[in-house]
Amino acid sequence: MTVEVPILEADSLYHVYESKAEEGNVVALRGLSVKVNSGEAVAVIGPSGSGKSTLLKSLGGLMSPTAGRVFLDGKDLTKMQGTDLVQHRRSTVSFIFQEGNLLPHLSALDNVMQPLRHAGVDAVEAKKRAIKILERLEMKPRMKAIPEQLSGGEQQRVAIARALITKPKLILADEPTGALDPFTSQTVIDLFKELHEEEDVSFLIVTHSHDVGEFADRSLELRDGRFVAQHGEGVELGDLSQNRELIIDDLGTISFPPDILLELGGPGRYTVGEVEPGRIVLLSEEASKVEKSNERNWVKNCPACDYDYQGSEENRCPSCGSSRPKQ
Amino acid sequence: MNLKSLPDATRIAILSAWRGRARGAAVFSGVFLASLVITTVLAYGAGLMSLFLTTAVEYEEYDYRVEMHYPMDGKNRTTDVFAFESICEDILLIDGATDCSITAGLQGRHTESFWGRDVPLQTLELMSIDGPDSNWTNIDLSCAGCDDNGPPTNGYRAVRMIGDEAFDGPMYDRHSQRVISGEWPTSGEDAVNNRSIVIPASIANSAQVDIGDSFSIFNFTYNSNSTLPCEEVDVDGNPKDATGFFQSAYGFDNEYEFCRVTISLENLTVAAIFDDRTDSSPLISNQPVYIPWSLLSSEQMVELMAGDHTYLAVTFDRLQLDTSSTSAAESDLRSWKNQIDGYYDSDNDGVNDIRIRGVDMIGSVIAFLQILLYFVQAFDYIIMIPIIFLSLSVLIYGLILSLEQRRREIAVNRVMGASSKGLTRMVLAEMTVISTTAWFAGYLIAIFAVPFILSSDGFMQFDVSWSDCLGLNNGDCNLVDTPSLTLKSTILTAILTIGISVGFSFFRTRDFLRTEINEGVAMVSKVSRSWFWLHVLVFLVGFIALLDYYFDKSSSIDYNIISNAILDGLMTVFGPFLLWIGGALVLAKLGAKGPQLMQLLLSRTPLIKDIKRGISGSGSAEGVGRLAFIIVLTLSIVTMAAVQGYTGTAVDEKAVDLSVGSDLQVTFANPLNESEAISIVSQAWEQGDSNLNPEINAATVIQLFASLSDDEYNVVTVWVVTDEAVDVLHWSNQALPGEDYHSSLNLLKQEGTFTHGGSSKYQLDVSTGNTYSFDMVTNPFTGETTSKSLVDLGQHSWVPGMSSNIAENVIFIGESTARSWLNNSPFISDDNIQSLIWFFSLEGLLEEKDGENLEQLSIQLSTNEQVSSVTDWSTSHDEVSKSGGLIFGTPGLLSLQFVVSAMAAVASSFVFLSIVLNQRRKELSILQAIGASPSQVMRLVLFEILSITIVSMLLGGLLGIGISYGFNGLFNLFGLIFQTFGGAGTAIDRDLIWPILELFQVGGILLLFVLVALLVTTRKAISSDLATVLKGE
Repeated sequence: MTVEVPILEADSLYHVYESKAEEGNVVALRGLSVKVNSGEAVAVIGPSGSGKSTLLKSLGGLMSPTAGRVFLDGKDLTKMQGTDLVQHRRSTVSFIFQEGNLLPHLSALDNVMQPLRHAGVDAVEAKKRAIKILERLEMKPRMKAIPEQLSGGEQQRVAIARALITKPKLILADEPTGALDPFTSQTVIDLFKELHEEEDVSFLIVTHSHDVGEFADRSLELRDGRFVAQHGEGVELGDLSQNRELIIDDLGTISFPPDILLELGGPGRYTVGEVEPGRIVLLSEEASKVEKSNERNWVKNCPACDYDYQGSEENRCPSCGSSRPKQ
Repeated sequence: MNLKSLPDATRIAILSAWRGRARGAAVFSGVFLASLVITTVLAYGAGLMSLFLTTAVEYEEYDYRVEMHYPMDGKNRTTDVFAFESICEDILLIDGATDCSITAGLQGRHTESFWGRDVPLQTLELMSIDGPDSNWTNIDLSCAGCDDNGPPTNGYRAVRMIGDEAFDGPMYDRHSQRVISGEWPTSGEDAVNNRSIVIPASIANSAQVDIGDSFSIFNFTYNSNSTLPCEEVDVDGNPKDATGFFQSAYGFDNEYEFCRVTISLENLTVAAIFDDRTDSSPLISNQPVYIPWSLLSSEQMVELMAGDHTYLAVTFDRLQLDTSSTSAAESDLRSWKNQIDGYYDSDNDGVNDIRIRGVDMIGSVIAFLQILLYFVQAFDYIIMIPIIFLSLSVLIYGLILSLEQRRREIAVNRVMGASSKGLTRMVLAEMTVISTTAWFAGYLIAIFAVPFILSSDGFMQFDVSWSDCLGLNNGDCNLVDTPSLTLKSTILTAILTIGISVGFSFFRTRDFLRTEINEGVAMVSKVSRSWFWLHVLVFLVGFIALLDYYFDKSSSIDYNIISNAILDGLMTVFGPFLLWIGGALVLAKLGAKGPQLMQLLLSRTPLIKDIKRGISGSGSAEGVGRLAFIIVLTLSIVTMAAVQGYTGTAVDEKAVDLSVGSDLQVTFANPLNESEAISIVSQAWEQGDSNLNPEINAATVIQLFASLSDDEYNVVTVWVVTDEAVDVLHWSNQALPGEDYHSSLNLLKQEGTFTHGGSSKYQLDVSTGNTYSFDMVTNPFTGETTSKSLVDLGQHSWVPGMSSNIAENVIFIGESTARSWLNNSPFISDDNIQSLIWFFSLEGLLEEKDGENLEQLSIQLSTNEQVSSVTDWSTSHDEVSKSGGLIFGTPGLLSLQFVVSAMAAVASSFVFLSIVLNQRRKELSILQAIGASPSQVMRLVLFEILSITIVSMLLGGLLGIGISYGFNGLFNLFGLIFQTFGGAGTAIDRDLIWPILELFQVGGILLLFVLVALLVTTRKAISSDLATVLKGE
């Protein structure tokens, strides 16, 4: 029997942002737990303000959560600080962001070398490794260009090269394709897939992208600072109700995603009708009167290029590649 | 970081510094300014020392006197002239030694400490002279003024006997440079054959000597080492005719009696007359008469050698002397002395067992200059404090802005695994690159600027031709040599500037990173503590000091805010700085509120009708506050530098007006009338080679005596200001009572008026506005007196051309009053006033080449036998600017301060403006996105920034006025020190001069630059892609 070793494990994470505003403090994470195994790719999906970025920072050791523990490659990040924390993070994890976040004054090559400089690797060795990795990502011919001379896709490839140069066990990515056009996005995702398969790198990716969701082994649905559901491979972001598994956490709490709550009849009191292993029936007693919204339909024409879908159920425009919104 | 990575780290730092130069510009400016100022003051000090030294030793012919080691009657001495002279051969082997000659004059000083010496030194003294050609009775050989500027040396004109070697070679060059008439003998042989004598111009003028005139008798005395010549007795014990006489002299503690022996020389011929007006150092004030040593008999030579009057005069190549600092010069001198002392340095060694020692002649001058230089440098640093403060403010703001702009970069690096230490190192490396470049740029410019500063002879006036120095004309660029800073000083400037910058960077970065790392936890960033009330307190204390100073000076307010003398003194010194720093901080807050203030004024105009809403929230941004602060700060410095610069220049000029009184002051040998006096000056002018034809006017002040009619023993000196004197003399407000000297002069011209001096007021018990009756002897033959009633116009402080002590004790009347009073006097007639002293105005001559023509005329006149003495405005101005109201070169430093602050105002406005607008790009794009037109956005920005600029400039100017007043007290204090040190007895009021035009010019230029910068940056901001700006950070 193979034992799955977690590269990342978070246990009951809470994070509270202090605020002097009238609304009081903001609770960004509410007792959240998650586990990512070695070589696994996990996507985190959720609406804006659900706590995705806070989660990523906490898991990557960039920020200390208010409560809870984070184990990265077996070490508790919440108990580490200073140089130990930086060194452990440096050897374990890399980050990729939406905008690439390259240093504007340095060339592509210097940007890729930068993490090795911080790690104290000598310049000659760092340069050799950086060129090698840029070559692999087909960026060697552009390695002397500074970021403003690079296209969005090229910048993101440099950012990926920079993330890979330290040979991380885990890559934490925050909307890595968010700022890219669909075709460049696909290239990036292909690259992720390649890395995932060939290098056995684990991924935790915060995304809104359908394709990224498809690439992940599983997707976690984040709402109001806690995971409410998990999806298997190939989750359709436009329709989360498919392929959805609700999560009951260790405290026995279950959070319903809004669409299920809507379907259920809204918040309120329910009586437990029937309980069997793996099955529960809830009966509405005083549920709020929540009006069901009408089923939303796909738009008939592409808003970008006016392509006529002619009644098909496609969710991407075959003409311009943009995603198909609902009415 | 390992050493192998150092080149890569340096490359990255240079790359970041260069590509991110916009964010580093403010840091660069701050370090650049600091480096410029610190280097300037240091290099200025070195240059000043070099100039002082060159000037001070210019007329000191010898560098070392080599004398016998032990005093008279001691061991290892010789009276063998040949043996003594032969030592020169060895001395000339020393590297740098150029000439050596036996000399007789001042007795050797055989004590270690100058101030510890008790026995007064005795020179060879000229006691009497006579001859067929000149009027020798006119000459006063007693040197009454010789003790004025230094320790007591001797009471008569000194005589210096020089060996044959001193008539040729390098010593010829040194001796002959002061010759104004005749020619310095070209060889010892010539000098002996012609029995040549070279005399000072002051003796030549008094005796009306011409070249070639002869002395039939020339008696001088020396101090004998025994009393025998003075007490010679015959076999019966009765005194014989003594060949010597006793003379008393006073040491520091005791009275001494010396036996002086006379040596007589006959048939000496005047070969040359030298200019003895320059007494650069008080230690060489008594200018001697030069005669050849070889004219003495062998016995006389032996006598003088036995009496310790002889020494070997030695010259060195002064170009080899390192004058970059006093210590460097002293070290060189010490080295030469050690080499001299190295010969015959033991008691039983060398030729005939002689032991010698070298006494350096210019070391004492250096010691004197060093004390003066400390004062000068202390003062210079004080007046440069504002610029240092400005540069530090720009530096700190620059650092804050630079770090703020690097927030994202730092975050990215943290994500990449950078530790706090690594990030600090990264920021420091970049700051080191920027600071080093800025330091070097400031250093180079300072070294380039210092020769110009040293050439300044007034605020924004330079004694050089710019076009010549820039190679536009073929003329000579008469700049002083660029002073070289010692390696120690250079390293000091680097450590101070780069060190401060890197030090500040370290602390700022550390704090910044700490905040950054904590930010994840706290949603509300920590609000830094406001020091506003402390700033207000500092401002108020400074303001109270200013009021106290103003009340002290104001004649109409008889109230002291601070009565405690110590506190008052402290406030005088520190008050201006408190006012300035506190004022800048507090007023900048007001300056940042410029848009709101201007809105109150312009709210009803269509100009801002549609952008009012946008204006209401402006001025709160931190960048705007900094812009206001820098403008207030720089404008206040510009104002202070201009006001104090012009005031200092005026004080210097007034000091010259006081001493010379006019363009030229001539004392004649005999009383002359106006046309005779003008004729002599005209002739002298025509003998020169100038093509100019100035209109020469002359005036004099006649001295009379009068007493109060009711108190005949109360006699006072009366000076008559002739009508010509009104035009010819350089008058100013302090010279006559009242606010406007023109109207005071008109009143004095009227018959029956007088002004009194400070002392004569109490002597006569007179007061302004009252009428008093005076008696004057109007017929010296009969003793007949005439009474006259005179109205007192008030008190004069000084009068052009008259010592302030004299002006204190006299009263002044106009010419019409004198004429009506003394109508029948033979001394004064209708069209012929005779006087010894005449003042001249030579129209337009002072402006021409800074009075060079006037100086030439002055030298020409000094050789005229009818002229006793002559002083000209230009020469006196040169001297006063060295030791006058302001110290030499300070107007140059204030000029530098003025130019640098004005440039800093423009440059920092540019830098801060682009930073402010860069910060606000998103805001401006949002305004456009929600419907504001580019014109509205442009007007909004223009109105906002121009309001801040204009209001801050006005407040800066206002603050400048305040600190100009405040610093006046401090400047007075230093002026008093310099005047006391320089031996000037006149305290001249520092009436502030307000150069409104220049200040408006600077303001206008600043405004113009801000406008251009605004238009460029705002246009850029408006034309940038809205979507990109709104999407990005």
